[in-house]
Amino acid sequence: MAHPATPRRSAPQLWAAFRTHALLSLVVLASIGPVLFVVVASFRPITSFDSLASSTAQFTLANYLGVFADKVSIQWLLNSIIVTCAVTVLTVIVDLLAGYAFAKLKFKGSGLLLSAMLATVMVPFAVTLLPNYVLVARLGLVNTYAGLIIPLLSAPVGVYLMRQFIAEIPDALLEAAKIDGANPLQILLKIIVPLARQPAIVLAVFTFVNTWNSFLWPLLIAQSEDKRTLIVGIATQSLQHTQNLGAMTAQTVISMVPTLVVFAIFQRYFLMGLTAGSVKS
Amino acid sequence: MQAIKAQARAEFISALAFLTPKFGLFCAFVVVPFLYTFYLMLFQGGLIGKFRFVGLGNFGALLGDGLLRSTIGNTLLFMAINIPVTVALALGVGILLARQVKFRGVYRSLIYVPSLLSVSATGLVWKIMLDRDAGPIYGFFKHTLGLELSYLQSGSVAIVSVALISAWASVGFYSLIFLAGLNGIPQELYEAGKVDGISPRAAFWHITLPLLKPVLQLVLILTSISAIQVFDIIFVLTQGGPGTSTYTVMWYIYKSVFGGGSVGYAATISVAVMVFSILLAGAIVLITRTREAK
Repeated sequence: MAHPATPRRSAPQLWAAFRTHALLSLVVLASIGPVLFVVVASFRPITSFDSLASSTAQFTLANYLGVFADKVSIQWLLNSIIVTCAVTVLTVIVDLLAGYAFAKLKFKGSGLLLSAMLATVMVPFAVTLLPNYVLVARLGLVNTYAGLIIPLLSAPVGVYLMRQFIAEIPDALLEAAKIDGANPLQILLKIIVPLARQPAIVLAVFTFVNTWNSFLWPLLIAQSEDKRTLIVGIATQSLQHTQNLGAMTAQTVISMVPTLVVFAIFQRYFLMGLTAGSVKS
Repeated sequence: MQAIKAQARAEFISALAFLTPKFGLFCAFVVVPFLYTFYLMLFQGGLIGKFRFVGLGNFGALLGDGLLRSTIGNTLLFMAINIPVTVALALGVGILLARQVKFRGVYRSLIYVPSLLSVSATGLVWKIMLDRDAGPIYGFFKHTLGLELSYLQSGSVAIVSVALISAWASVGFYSLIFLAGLNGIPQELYEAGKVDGISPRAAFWHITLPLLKPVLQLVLILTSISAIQVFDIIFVLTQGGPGTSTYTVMWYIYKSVFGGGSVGYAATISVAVMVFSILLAGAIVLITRTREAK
């Protein structure tokens, strides 16, 4: 039974490997089968669920052309891009600064402040959501990009990630720069930033995916149609009128592309982040 | 001496400058709202208009709220299905992914795909999969088991469907967390077990599970906290319906506040959610600890 290339593998081992492959294939099918079905449907001439049932294997780009000709859909896509890019870039900058201060600068209450920030990770967002909304509304930020972006920058997890990594940069390196007369800002730009590229990318990819997919906050803040993000737009339009299913599948597939592409490119950073997350516990 | 002092001061000032953005945001959008919740609890009034002081009146209203009671029931049912299914499947998939088979990188990536989808995409995917006329999953259960359920439109079934769909969307993420934990277990332990002649099942119970306990604890807490606050998937799949059969606590808060209801009352419910999550997280920590002591 043994394959010539793997002569040391016994029959039970082969059987075990086969079983693992079979089970994993099943999981893969369950994971991406439903998604692929919708992707295929988005290239079919469909308008409703009825037409989906009776649709032929005819290929069309009409659904996508329709979405790209629709001003509202384009505005949603644009909003998603603006909000996601702004939140990602700003989160990395803000968390890098704070992470550096916590890791390398000595000041009183540093440890206490960090643990206080981290403790709030456990507070359900349900608790801060309403008062946040009330406060943001009083500041007049409802239905603005600022209201969509700024509150998302308060999450403490990224600071912890940056601090852990920067703490591992040898002090001797920083001391040498100090002796040369570099101030903390110069040290940050010349030494920390180049060395902290990896955790910065980890933070950026997770922030990108989470922000792109964020739902409840933009749902509350984007009250007029032209301020909605693509994700919120897709979910809310179906409630308002009987939506063209073809257009909706095309919008949905378009909305999946950025996160899938980011994952495909930065896969190893995702794994790094998840590993850091599970080791942290 | 003077130079060192000057340097320490410069360091303190820069620390202050570097921390200010994050700390300001943190105070404005986490600390202040957190404290504000407890203040809001004492008032009554909608988003528009003035608040009226009611003291502890909101707590009294909590006890007499029949819809809230059934909402809590739905949320607990959601949790009872979603948490064990998610954790068990994620652990199983994580164990499969940890095996040294070919293409494991490919499997790993594809299994993560549902975790990258937005809730809107997940919602549309499953509305189509479960559709009576066109849904392949609906068709599959109809032809193999003779099942013709209205998965999302029937009062008793909808919350179960939603709990399972929500599990589908997050299994990939948690399985990779388990995988990271499994990769941290020294392979020598299994080799030693093999030498001692223990079965794979015994190896799972006596090596894998005890060493995976911290990760298991983390996953249990994360899944519990997200299940308590389930909202998005309800929004896209059932809107709390049919009737109020898939009303969950967060959905109830959303509906009542943005339907003109009292903000203070909703704040009271959200504090109850927090207390419950803290108790639950504490219980999870305690349970996993006592097992460790054995």
